[in-house]
Amino acid sequence: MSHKNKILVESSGLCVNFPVKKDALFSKPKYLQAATDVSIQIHRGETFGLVGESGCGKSTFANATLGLLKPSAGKVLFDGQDINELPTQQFREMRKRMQKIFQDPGSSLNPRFTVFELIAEPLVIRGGYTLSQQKEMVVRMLESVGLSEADLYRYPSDFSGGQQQRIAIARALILRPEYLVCDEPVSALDVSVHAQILNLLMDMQKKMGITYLFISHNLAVVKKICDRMAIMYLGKVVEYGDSEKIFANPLHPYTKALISAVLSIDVNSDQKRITLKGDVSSPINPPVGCRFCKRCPAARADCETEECKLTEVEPDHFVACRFCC
Amino acid sequence: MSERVLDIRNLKVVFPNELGIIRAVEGIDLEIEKGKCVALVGESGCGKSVTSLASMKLLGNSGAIVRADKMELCGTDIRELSDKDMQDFRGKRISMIFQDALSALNPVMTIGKQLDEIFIRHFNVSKKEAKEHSIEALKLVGVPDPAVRYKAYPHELSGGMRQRVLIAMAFACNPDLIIADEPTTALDVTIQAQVLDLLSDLQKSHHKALLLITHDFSVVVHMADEICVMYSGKIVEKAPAKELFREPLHPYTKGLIGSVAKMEDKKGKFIQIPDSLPNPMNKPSGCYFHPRCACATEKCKTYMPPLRTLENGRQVRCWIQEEAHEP
Repeated sequence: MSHKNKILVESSGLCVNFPVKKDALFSKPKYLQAATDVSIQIHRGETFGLVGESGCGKSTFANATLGLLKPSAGKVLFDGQDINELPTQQFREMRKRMQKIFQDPGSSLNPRFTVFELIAEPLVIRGGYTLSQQKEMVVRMLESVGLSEADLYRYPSDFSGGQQQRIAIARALILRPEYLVCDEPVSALDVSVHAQILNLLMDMQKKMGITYLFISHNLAVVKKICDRMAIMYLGKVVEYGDSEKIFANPLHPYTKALISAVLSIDVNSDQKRITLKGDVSSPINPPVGCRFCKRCPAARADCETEECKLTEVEPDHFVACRFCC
Repeated sequence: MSERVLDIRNLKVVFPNELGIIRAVEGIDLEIEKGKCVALVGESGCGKSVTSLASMKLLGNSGAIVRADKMELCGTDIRELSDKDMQDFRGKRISMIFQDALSALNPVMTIGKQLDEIFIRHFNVSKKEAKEHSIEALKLVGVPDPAVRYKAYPHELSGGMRQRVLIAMAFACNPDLIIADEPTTALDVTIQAQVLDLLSDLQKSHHKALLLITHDFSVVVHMADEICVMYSGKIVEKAPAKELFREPLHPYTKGLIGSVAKMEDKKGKFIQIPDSLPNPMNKPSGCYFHPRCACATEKCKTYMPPLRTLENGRQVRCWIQEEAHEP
């Protein structure tokens, strides 16, 4: 496979800003910088983990790669084509190759649609399928996500959270996409159901060869299922690359803190947690230098003024911290 | 001698409705000693929250029927208490920390006023004194600039701060028992670590009894002294925290612990428990867990195993353990 063909989704210098309400009529417009200078490559067929706290721009980045948000600067390439430059018709064609599943299946599924209507909706919008073809495809998809034909005419409220998420997965996969964004797919579910849904996602990936962008704040899950990953803080990528390398040798202080915050269930381990002080700063006026400097246990005076660039410390392992590379 | 703060024997809660009877809690024994933390772990719908609400007598208007052989809080039988007396009890002797701080706090009142209310209600102090107490309480839970935050509305605070305010409220009157119902589920990992550390420190330093309710084993392992695993309204295993993790006996506990993602794990699949909890209106015969259990036998399908105490003091409700320990 050539290098170009290996990369399915690529962002270069991606910035997404949202305008916020001005203080006074003629004051300078202010922007909330949700994602700043994000350059990430997602390889075909891999599971790419995106980790960070709420409000760090994970979902903004994912939406930008799906063309749901227009970037303020930078580009998003899907299969080599800039998705924001494409004519509408061609973009619609490309859209069916990308899908998304959401965090809370209870609110992402229309409560007035039956399971059949929900899962067949993408087929109806795409057009060109007869009713019997639709039904056949929906039943086959339902069976592969672990539900049965008997569930076809029931409503989402009849199902438990885990089953609702299975319906959401079936709906996302019915058009056989190549790229699927999983936006915290299990954080609204019970821990016992996490394993079921994550195993299902891995099975589907093996069967259909889908590329996942997996958003999560649970590093233990990311470690178990992701091939490559990026860690974001306040709109910027702080560490990025091969997940095995990052976990074997975490370099950025924020990554270290996140890894230590994962609660271990090993009673013998007496690991010391690095508890970060304070909360995430506001993305409206982020610090000029390193964005993590306010909470960083290793911050020095010049961290506040000088910006850190992502630097490659070993093949496929990038860090944005001047003191650890 | 250790003091027993909460002592519940054979608690049963049923919700009758048009379609039948939901047996939410089916005979639970729960005791917590002073200074100890007991965790109640199970999937959603297994009856753990109903147990906690019943022990605060908060199920009055829900149409629930609550029965127990014994329900004592610091030696007082709360079954006999009138609603008015119970109101004095709540907050002062027993208090609760809820899961979702944003909906537990009143959005149109400043957090300071909400804290003041507690002191005015229970200690009969003036507004000025109440304010001093409130700021003190906010300081105790590590809210920065407590005097400034006193005037803040809940929406002006971050999720972690709001949870701290709820903890401040729970500890305000120095109660004997604190019930924390999924205190960190709505929070991010780094904030979750902060809040758990705070809760654990306060519980230890104030020597309080804490009942922790959660579905996440990783939350309880470093906090709880004893863990009760609940399944479909019954306790299936009860053991000291360390021993439970070292050697889980019930297949359900094994599955739950196995399904938690661990940092030490290699890449690959998760251990999973198939299916989900049985419908509470239509529970299976025999052991409630047998349809999901990998080692279920014919006996499991017909007879419910008793909660047996083993020689080492651990309790488990499983026929397989029963047979293994038979003389």
